[in-house]
Parts: sequence; structure tokens; C-alpha cells
Amino acid sequence: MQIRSITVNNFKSLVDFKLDLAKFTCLIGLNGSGKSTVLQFIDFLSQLMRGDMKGWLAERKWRSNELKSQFTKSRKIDFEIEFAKRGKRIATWQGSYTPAIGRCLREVIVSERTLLNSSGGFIETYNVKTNCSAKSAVNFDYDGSILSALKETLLHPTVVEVKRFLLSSESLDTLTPDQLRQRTKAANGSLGHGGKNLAAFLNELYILKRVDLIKKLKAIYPRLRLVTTRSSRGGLKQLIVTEDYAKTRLRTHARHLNDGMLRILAIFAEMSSDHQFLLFDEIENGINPEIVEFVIDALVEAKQQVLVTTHSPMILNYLNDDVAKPGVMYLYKTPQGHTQAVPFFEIPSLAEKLTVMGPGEAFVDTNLTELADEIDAMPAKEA
Amino acid sequence: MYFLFSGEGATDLGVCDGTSNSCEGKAFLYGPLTIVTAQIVEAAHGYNFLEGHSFGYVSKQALSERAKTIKQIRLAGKEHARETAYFYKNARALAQIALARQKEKRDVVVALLFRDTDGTASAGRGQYEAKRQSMVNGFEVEGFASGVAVLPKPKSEAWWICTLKKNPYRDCRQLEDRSGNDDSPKSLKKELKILLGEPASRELLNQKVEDHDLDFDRIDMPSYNEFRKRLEDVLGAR
Repeated sequence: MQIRSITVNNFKSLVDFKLDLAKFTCLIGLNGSGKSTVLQFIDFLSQLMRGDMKGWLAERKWRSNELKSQFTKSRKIDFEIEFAKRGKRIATWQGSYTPAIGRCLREVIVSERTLLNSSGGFIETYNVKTNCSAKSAVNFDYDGSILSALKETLLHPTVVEVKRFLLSSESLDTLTPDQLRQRTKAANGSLGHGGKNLAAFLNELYILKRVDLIKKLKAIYPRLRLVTTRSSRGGLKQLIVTEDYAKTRLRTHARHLNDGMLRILAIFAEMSSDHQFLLFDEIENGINPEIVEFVIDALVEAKQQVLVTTHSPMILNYLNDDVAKPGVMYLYKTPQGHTQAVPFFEIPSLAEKLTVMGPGEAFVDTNLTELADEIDAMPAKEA
Repeated sequence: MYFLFSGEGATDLGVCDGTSNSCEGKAFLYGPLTIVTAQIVEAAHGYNFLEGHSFGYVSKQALSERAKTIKQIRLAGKEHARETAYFYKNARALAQIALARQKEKRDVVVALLFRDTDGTASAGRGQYEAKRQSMVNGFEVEGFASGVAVLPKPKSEAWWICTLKKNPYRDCRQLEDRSGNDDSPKSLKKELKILLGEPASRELLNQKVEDHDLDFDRIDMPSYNEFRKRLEDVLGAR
């Protein structure tokens, strides 16, 4: 399963915003165009399913009223998420979230038919076994999406799949070396805010996956022998990397590891995990030009759906045209301050440039500050 | 001397007969600017190469395919202005093909590369001179000495309008300041259509040049002068 498109209105700068997603999507655009906001929105969707909006807001040090856009007067955030399998739409989740009360007051999941409808204090769910819908009053509390509070046994399998997909998305929009070096007790399957659970996350990885991870990383770190964790008496996990040099076996604790290696470990650990949707902000940070191709190839080939943001032409130049055409999305702000997205290589001048050069060369050769005029002139369906 | 052309389509340098991406001699359905080139060559060397077989054409698609194989990345920076890589890469690709043709024919190859400077690839962005210089650099970096950039500003319609307008050949320089956007209400393309009385076609424009209905010799526009001067330099006529 993967997300085919997201439509959102009133989340920060995302006003009347629609974005099509490929299996590998790369967001580009000037600073402040809204790339990170898209990642935050997808993390927000995931959190709706977890049902802990207060915890999520506290971790990000945000207030609930900061979620909604300052450009509109509306008090709710409306969204529509389309899920697909092998290119075919299998479900659409529509929702309306009210930040002031921290929950979705309206949610509908539609496949061939309506599988779930929650509105006006009632919920109607379609039961595949009995082939009929049951309606009942919502006489319980919940946070975020109503799906966070419902037993999976009551839900249609497609609804469960949608819920699990979003729960298994991991947004690493705040990955920082300091957090990655932290010692932590448990990861519970998540790298956590800023990647603070990296040590515990690796510790929880199934042993064969860890072996596979080291095998992959040896291609770029040939001296790498082991990635292990050590538990302190208090149960805190500490990351240790072992490398073989000529006559020395070097063991390096996370606090002395270089930033780039920590990020690579986090990225590849995620690809080894059972997560289904991975999001990385500014993927190029701390990554040597020599290993960019290796990292990008791995992300494009990953079993998960992947969304990255970048400012780097190097990253784009390692994408094949058939990946770049549907996958590179250009984000920009309208004069009103709203974020909009357009497939970068559907802009006529960029499509033409791509016929003679690589995606990264075309990107860096283009004066992005003057691109808006051309986008405005594109037919509406394309823009 | 062998002449190798690569342009955007039928109404500039021409196209290959059928679906071929590369052609020579009669298979090349040459366009009006190829005839203009032939007239300049005739004035310099006293013969019309179009009456022989020593000329060929490489389509835009074939040139793109060659350009895509050039893996060396040219990043914009202090030395390379933005919106120029398209011209540079195409010039390198044509230079490579021209050098191979030179070896094959055992003859000097003069290659002419036509692109509108305000065409699809830049949509009004970037400076003319930077684009022209990038094309020159593209030829040079491949070690090809007889490449000619045919770069009308903003596009070839400006040259045609200069020859066809009410007071032909006068005050044509200002045409270079016009927009190259075909969708604008006063686009050069629309104006040319009005002057011709019908949409521009290869046959119509060829006829006008062949019949000497108009005289490119009299055009005084910086982008045309650049083309003519460079071609004459390559021909050893200056």
C-alpha cells in the first residue's frame, strides 16, 4: 500500500494544497516553500491514528492553535488522503480535524463503498462478514482520529490497513546528531523525535535485519564490523560501532561517532524496519558526495514508500528520469503565502531541459525565483 | 566542406524525410535558414552546397540522446550563469557528432546549431549573451573549431518579421526586446502569421528566400549579425 495523493486545507501554509506521491517522492523548492510542512502534515496524520495529539504537540513544542493556517479564518483542518495498491486506488480517507478540541469531528473512509463514517456524534461501520453497516453513538472519548480508539476487530480489513499504514509511517523531519547520540531505554519501534531512540531502535531490530544492515553498510564503510548496543544498569541503550583497521579493532561510542555515519545508520535502520512510509527532511545533510548515489539508490529501491526533501542537485542527479518525472515535486508559495506543488519536470522548460541533461543539472540551471510566471501560465490541470 | 545542421524543426533549418533522426543529402528536407546559410556560403566560396550532397541533419531528438550520454555535470555558479546549460549541452552533443562525421567524411565539417533563445527551455529566463557564450563554450570544450551558433533573439520569428514588416529592415533591433512567449496576445508568432497571411510553413518560407522576395543580407539585428559573422569566420571569408 502507498499514499497516492494528499489534499489538505488549512494546515499551516497548506491551504487548498494537493500533492501526488510516487513510490519515491522528492520535494524541492526554495527555503520557506513548505517542504518541511508537508512532512509535518504526514506526521500529523500518523499521530491522529496514534491518538495522542497532546503528546505530539508537546514533543514538538507547538500549541494546538499553531497547526491551523493563519491565512484563513476556518477553525478546522480538512484533508483527503488517497491510498493505492499497484497504482489502483483502494481507499480514500477524508477527515476534518478541530485543533481546539484535538480530534477529528468528521471522518469518512470510502473504498468501493463507505467503510466508515463518523460524524455528528455517530459512527457507522461496514462489517464485511455480515455485509451490512452498523450505526452507533460515539459515547467514548478519543484523541485525534476515532480510529485510534476503535478495536481493529470492528473495522473493515481495508480500514485496518489504512490505519496500520499511517501508524507505520516515520517522519524524520527533525533528525539531529545530538539526539541520535542519546542513550535511551526503549524505542517501541520508532526512532523518535530527532532520532533520539536510535540506539534502542537498533537494539530492537531483529538480529537478521541487523546483520543485513551491516552487510549493506559495508559497501560504503568497508571497515565496519559490528553495530551493537550496550545496556547500562538503568536499561539505557548505548550505540557502539566496531571497525577493523590494519592492526586495531576500534570501538566507537555514539558520542564520538561522526554526524554523517549516525545519519546513515538512522536512514538504513529505518529501511530495515517494518515501517511502510519513510520521510526524511534534507536527506543530503552530513552525507559525503561519494556515497550519495548509494544512499539514493537504496531509498529508491526501498521496500517502503519514501518521501525526502532536498536542496541538493547531487541528490536529484542520481535519480533516473523515470523516477524523477513522477517523483520530483516542486513546492512554491503563491503571492497569498499558500504552498502549492507541481511536478517539476512537467513544467515545460524543465521537461525540455531534462531531454539533454540530468535532473540535478536542470534544477540548478533554473532560476527558481522566476519560475512562478511559467507555472502560472501552465494549464490548470497541470499546475 | 561538409555542412551539418541541427535545429528545432521544419521552419528553421529543416527536418529529415520520414521518421529518421539523422539524414544526408536529399533525405534532408532543408528549411529556410539552411537556404540562408547556403547563400552566405555561396557568396564566400562561389558554390551552392545544396546542389551537392555534402550536407546533413541531426534531429533534436538525436541530439538530446547524445547530450544525455555526456555525464560530466555542469553546475551553475560564478562561471556559468543559470538557464544556459541547455545551450551548452546541445553544443557539446553536436560537436561530438560533427567530429565523428569529420573523421568519417575526411572533410572539414561546419556544424550549425539553431535554438530559439527564448524558447521552451527557458521561458523568458536568462540572458541572451550568456546563452550564446555557453553554446560557443560547448563547441570549444569538445575541441570543435567550426561550430556556428544560430541563436535568434528571442526567436526566429523576429528575423522574419524584420524582412516582412511594413518598413522592412528598419529599426529591427527593437524586435529583439519582444517576448518569445507564443501565448501572449502580441506574440511574434501571431504577428508573423498576419504578415505572411497564413501560418509559417517550410515551403512558404523556403520559397520567399529562394525567390529573393526578401533579403537576409539587409537584416541588422545583433543576434543575426552574430550568426552571420561567426559563419563567415568559419568559412574564412572575413
